[in-house]
Amino acid sequence: MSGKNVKAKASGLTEVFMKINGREYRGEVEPRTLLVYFLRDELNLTGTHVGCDTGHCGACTVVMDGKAVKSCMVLAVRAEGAEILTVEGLADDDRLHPVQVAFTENHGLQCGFCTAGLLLSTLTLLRRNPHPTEEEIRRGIEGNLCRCTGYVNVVKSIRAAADSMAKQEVKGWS
Amino acid sequence: MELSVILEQTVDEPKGRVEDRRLLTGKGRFVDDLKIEGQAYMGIVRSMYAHARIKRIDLSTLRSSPDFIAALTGEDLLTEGVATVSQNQWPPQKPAKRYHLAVGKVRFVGEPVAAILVRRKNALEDLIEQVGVDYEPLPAVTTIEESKKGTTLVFEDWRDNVSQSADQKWGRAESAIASAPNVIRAKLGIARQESAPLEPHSVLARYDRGRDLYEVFATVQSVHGLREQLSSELQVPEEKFHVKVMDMGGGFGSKGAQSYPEPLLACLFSRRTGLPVKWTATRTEEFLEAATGRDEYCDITLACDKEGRVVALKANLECDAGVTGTQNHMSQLSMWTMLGGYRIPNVDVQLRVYATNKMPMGPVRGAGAPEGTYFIERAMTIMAEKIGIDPLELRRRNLAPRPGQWGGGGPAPGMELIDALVKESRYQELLKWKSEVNSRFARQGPSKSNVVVGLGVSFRGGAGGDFDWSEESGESESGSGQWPTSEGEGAGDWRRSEAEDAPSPSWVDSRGEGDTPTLDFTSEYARVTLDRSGRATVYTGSSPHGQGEETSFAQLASEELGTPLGDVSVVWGDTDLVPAGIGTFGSRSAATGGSAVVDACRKIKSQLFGGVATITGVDAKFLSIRKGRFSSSAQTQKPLPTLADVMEMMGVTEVSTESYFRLSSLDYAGGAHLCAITLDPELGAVKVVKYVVVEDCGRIINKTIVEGQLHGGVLHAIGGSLFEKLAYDDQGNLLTSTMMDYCIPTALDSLEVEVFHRGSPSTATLDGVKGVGESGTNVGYAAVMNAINDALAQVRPGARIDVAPATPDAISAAIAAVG
Repeated sequence: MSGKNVKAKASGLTEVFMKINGREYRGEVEPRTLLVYFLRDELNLTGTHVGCDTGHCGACTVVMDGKAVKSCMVLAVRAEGAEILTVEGLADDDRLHPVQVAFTENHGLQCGFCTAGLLLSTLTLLRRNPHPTEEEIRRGIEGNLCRCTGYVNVVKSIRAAADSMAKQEVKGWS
Repeated sequence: MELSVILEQTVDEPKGRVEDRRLLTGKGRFVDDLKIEGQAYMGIVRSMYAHARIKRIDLSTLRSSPDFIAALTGEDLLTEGVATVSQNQWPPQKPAKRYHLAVGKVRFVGEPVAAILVRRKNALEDLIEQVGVDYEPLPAVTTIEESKKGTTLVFEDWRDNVSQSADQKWGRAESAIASAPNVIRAKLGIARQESAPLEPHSVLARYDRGRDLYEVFATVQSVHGLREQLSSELQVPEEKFHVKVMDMGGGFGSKGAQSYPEPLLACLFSRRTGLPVKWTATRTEEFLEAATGRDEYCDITLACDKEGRVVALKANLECDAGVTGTQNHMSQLSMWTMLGGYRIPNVDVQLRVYATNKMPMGPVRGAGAPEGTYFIERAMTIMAEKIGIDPLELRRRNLAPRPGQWGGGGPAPGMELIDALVKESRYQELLKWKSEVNSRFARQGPSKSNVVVGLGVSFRGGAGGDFDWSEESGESESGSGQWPTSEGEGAGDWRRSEAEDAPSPSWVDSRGEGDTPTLDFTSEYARVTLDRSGRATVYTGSSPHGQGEETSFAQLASEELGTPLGDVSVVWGDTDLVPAGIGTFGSRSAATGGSAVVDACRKIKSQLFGGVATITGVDAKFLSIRKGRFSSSAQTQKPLPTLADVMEMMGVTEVSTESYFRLSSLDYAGGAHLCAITLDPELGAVKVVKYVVVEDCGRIINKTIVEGQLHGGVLHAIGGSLFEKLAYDDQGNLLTSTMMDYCIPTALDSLEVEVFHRGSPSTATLDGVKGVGESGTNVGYAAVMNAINDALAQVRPGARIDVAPATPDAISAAIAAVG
């Protein structure tokens, strides 16, 4: 389980280890470092964004041990041993994930700042519920704010993603 | 020109935008994503008082920290010779003597008092708290009413707190109202609201001592605008700045022309220390400092004759501008918007803008147009209720005709939009549904499961349509505050001119040697290059941040040059690569920037076809180009040369042309909207259940993008009508400083916005488009507020909400107020 075996060091830094996008990462962080800043500042995984610092906007959403979490609400040390998926790990090399394809084909993004969070919330929603109703889609992304799209084409994208994922075997993430 | 055609795109639209791939894979480059080795972190110490004298700033504890590098206060800015915060010259407003770090006094909660530079990001918040500031609190001016009294002055060198005034008058409004059979009066308003793009402001600045150059990455809608501000405020020549932006997470006005402290402070710190300096706002800082909008209130009187023709409009328009910002045209735009769509023979509008101890005002999506549209459109609906006719019918009877552009004496374009709205929304069925639901409510009375239905409509003429009809009647008396024609932020005389009726657009490109054309709000820069292999590069002064110009401008170049879309790249947001530019705001990029791209492409063709004509003797007018190959519609003796042959002959490796394209007038999309809501009167809860937009944005380059802009714009208006409000206490403290308190709409607040297109291509732009980016927001507020009021009247006759947002509290209070 995540968060166990955290080792504090004399420097005041704590060693953390996690598996991100299939790769193992080891690092040293101040205990108060948030997961999102560990990803962005230490590992240069800047696809995960910070929009509000208070857990409301969802731009920092990542998948942690199969669940969508707001990485500004998780301490890096709490993610010790966790398996994490960020937007950088979604495409299979050059081949976009069906959720990404659905978002581009249906104009589910404009400025692209909230997009990483929406993609990962969509992925966990569809893994939980492969055929969501419109209401379920809207509830599923309620925690991801977008100021550009009015969510009209986001909802359309998620519907299209559900259809295409139902049609093909998609590599699962745990 | 046939008006009833549904406009189809003539340019092939790609499936997905060019910019999507990097944004979908986490490879976008937003300013906060950038890191320069050795960068230091800047933090801002902000005022906790709305109005106070600064007695002492104590940096001693801070200086003893191992993480401390440097600090700046207002006094340091004076020593460095930094100028006061930039204010646009137009419209005229009193100069507000403020610095980017407070000097002597603070004037709003959140105002920067000191800046600190530290080694580690994690140390920032700790060290900000180490700065001790002693204040002597002063009485704060926190409302328009207090500002009017003038007991306390926001700026000591002013006589009163009025920062701006203007008026529009023609005919005799007073006597027309006195003798009119139908008169309504309403005190309308929209609360202070926020653009709230998802990406907070950020800057990364590096001063290169060796070359005496500043490299600045910043979240701005105009890199050239920031360069100009930095130059004038730091008193350093423009060419010393290289300003860049790559991807940007929305702007909606808040990253527009407002001059913010942080880019300047980062430059100063970097100059002092030689270190790259990074700053990114927290969301709370964003709420405390990013330009806010609306906060306009209008006491409006509208008079109609017995046939329902408007005979007069009288209004007092007031705006709370806070400590007054860089831009200040918003309430003037409201005034003109209010007078734009209908023929009104007698007008008397007074505008007063007041300074208060709140953060400065700036543009928020629509920048005054949503307010102005709301004021006139709410008043029109109240009038329709009074006369007892359908609100759309009242609008039909008063539409301003538009001679010239629309074929003189033909049907007003607004009629086209309104007729289409009736058809596409199935208006008659909606009325029937409303009547059924509301009769059930009337029979059963309120209960928890019971709702009433409200329908609201609104309309905006658009298309260069915000103009003064008094000229037509020759009765104009006054009118201060016209758009200047060649300088300032907003150019182009807002009054209708002969030029607007001209069949073809005019543009400036008559440069003499060393004579660089100037750019303003109605113009934009583009350079296009085409190389020997047929690849094109577009350099634009526009600055997309969600609007998809990387795709739509590539489409335009592709169409003009016959180059496959994949062979066109678009470059923007870099003052070194793009020498001039205005930026992206004010619904102007596809119109001005797009026209400049088309203009530059046509110049390329003209040069190339001239070359082909020289080689083959074929008249250039018969030539075209596609996929880098020339073809001729006339018989040719010789085979046509290749692109490389022509460039070889011209002695160039690529053809490159520039355009400083200037529109004869800005052309905006008009729109007619319908909003249907349900209201649960027990809970005060409103749900928008249907929303229909009929818009006229001229020729459509990319329908998907246009509709996306409308979807987002409409939801912005729904949020602004239902719950968005920056609230302050009586001491001027902002009570809504996180996204928990200031709510922007979630997916649960949104719905499938139905968009329909009508109209005709603009004749003012080369690409035929009319600006549409803000249209959804501009027209949306009035539709939603009219729908809410329609529903309220079902619950209790006489119940009304005139100031947005109509929160559940406000709805309950409105119902209670009429007993």
